[in-house]
Parts: sequence; C-alpha cells; structure tokens
Amino acid sequence: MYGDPRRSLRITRSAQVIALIAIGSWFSITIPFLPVPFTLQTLFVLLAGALLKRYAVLPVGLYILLGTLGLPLFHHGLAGPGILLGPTGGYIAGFLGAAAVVGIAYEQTSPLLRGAGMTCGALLILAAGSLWLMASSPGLTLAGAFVIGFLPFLPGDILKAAAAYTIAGRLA
Amino acid sequence: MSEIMSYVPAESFLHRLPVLLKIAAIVGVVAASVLTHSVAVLGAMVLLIGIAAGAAGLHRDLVRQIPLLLFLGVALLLLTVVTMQSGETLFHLIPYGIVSSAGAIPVTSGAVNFAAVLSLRFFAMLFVFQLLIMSTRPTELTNALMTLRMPIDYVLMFVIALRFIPSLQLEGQRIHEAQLARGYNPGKGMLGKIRSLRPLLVPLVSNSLSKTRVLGLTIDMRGYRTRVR
Repeated sequence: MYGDPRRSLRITRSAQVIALIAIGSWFSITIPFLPVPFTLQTLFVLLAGALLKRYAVLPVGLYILLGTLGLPLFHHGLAGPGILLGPTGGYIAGFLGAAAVVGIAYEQTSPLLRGAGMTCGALLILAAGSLWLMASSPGLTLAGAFVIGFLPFLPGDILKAAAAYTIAGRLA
Repeated sequence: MSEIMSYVPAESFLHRLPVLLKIAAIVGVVAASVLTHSVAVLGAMVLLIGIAAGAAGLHRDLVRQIPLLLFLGVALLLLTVVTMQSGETLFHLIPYGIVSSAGAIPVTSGAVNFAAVLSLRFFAMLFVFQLLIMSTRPTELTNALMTLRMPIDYVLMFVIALRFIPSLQLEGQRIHEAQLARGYNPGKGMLGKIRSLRPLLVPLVSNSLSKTRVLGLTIDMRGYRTRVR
C-alpha cells in the first residue's frame, strides 16, 4: 500500500524548511554601520539540521539555488547571484556547511554532541561569512572583518543556537 | 515583502516571451554584469531593463524597490570608502582641522567607482530576476525547470515550498495575534520585535511540522512513486 513514505515526507519537510528559512530571512534587522543584517535565517538553518538530520543539506542547498535563481528568499526579500557575490554571500554559503554539521551531529543521540553540533554550526556560518567579507571588500584585514562580521553577531548567534537546540528538543 | 512570487497577470510582450528565452536572457545579463567593470555599460544595462519594464507596464514594482536599493548602495559606498584607497583623493569625510590638520578618512575616486560598479551590478541582477518572476506564471517556470531536466523531487520541493511560504507567513501572524489576545505584551521597538518571537516559534514550527506530515503521507497515498523503468 505504501510506496516510500519516507521519501515523500522528506520532500514535504524540505519544502517546509525552505519556507521557514525564507520567512526567517524577511525578519531582518539592519544594524547601522554594519553591512550584514541580523536575521532569523540562522535559527531555521540550524533547526533544519535538527529536523532533517543528514538530509538537511538538500533544502538549504535548494534554498540557496532558488535564491540565486531569483526568488526573493534572501534577507530583506532580496534575490539573485548579486547577493552571493555581495558582502553577505559568505554567510549564506556558510548555511550549507552549518546544516551539514548540525545534521551529522543530530544523527547521534547524545545531547552533548547535539549541543556541540549546534554551536559549531553557528560559528561556522559566522566564520565563513567574515572570511568572505574580507575577500569581497578590498582592503579589509582579517582583524577588521572579524570585528565587523563576527563579534557583533556572536551573542545573537549563540542565542539562536540555544533557541534552536531548545525548540528541537521540544519537537522531538 | 507582502507577496512572494508576485506574478502579475497581464498581457505584455514580456509575458508572451518563451520562458526558456527569458532564462537565457537572464543568464546573459548576469554574465555581462559580472564580467564588466565599467560604470557606463552597467548603467546602460540598468536603463535598458528599466525601459523594458516600463514597456511591459511592470515598472511600479521595480520603483518600489528603489529606496531599499539606494540604502544598500549607500552602505556599500561607506564600506568601500572606509576600506579601499586608490586613485586620487576627492575630499575627506571628516574635514580639515577636526581630528587632525590634514582631515581624516579620505574619499578616493577608486573607491567611489568601485562602489558604483558594485551597486549597479546589484541593481541589474535584481531587476532582471524580478521581471522574470513578475512576468512568468509559476507553473510555466516549473515546466521550464522540468525541460531543463531538473529532477522531479526537487521541482516538487520547489512548488511545495512556494505554496508554504505565504501560508506560513499568515500562520505566524495569526499566532502572534493569538498571543497578543491572551495579554502578551512584547513591548515596543527592536527589542520588542525580538521578544515577540519567543512565544511564536515553537507553535509555528510544530504546526507546520504536522502539516507537512499530513501532506507527505497524502502525496504517498496518492501514488507518488519512483518511475519504474
């Protein structure tokens, strides 16, 4: 009677994750003097890893692809490869790695590993983002990129990782 | 922001163009805007896109984007001015005699030029994609993706995600109002905006999880199978 319900569940769940990340990206707060806005994308990317385990890379990759193809999915409802090449592109590319790390961590059952995976995922996004920020704006040093691309978002992202961990725990 | 995938039903030459041709045109514009470094070429391209939009009667939505784009452009300009020094110095951001006798933070022609190229590149890509979305029916877009041999699973994901986004947005609003009706007061300003998320996220995610479960099982029950070859 059943075909492969896991496959169709995977499809719908991935679609849900894409939609959630898109909703989260519209919730963007621009902080004055910083080229990077504060968004909820990170939270949902981390949550995607918790929900879909190792398949989390699929929806996040598709999200980036669709955003690049021109659906207004990125922060502030923007889209296009211009965003990926712009100052915030590294963060968006970092989502992919973060989803993979969190997904692999959530294959395990130990809460310690899961928490560590969340933290690593959040830090990975920030690290990738600041590195690309340095590469894309000429003259910006590593320390400078660290100060404007990493430090201001650290408290928020730790908070988001903690929130994702709690929400994932409550959903399970 | 209010509507995603805002397809605008109309009869214009942009709507009648074949989808694959439009996609090819977009690839062309993107490649050109990445490759060129001249302000004039990029400016001409943005102007042409604007004229095409005006001819198709779709310019209103593009105009709505302009304040945000200007804001982004100014942010980019500030960033490049602070971080990049090349070409001759035009003037100083902090004039003579305030911080030091020579003035601080020089604004150089190279930096201004670079920022202009970056912002115009951005404008061109954003506008051209927006025109595609506005002038193409979502089903046509999906069919075009299928002709480009995208795997069916991913096309289905794309269509469902598209369907989910507005309903999730609506649901979020509804939950928010429900919490307000129960007397929840998140406060005003940015902190209030952040605080109002807390009672919203768990119901939003768990509701949509159960909805996707039902949808996934429904898809399966209606015979979604791998094609047997």
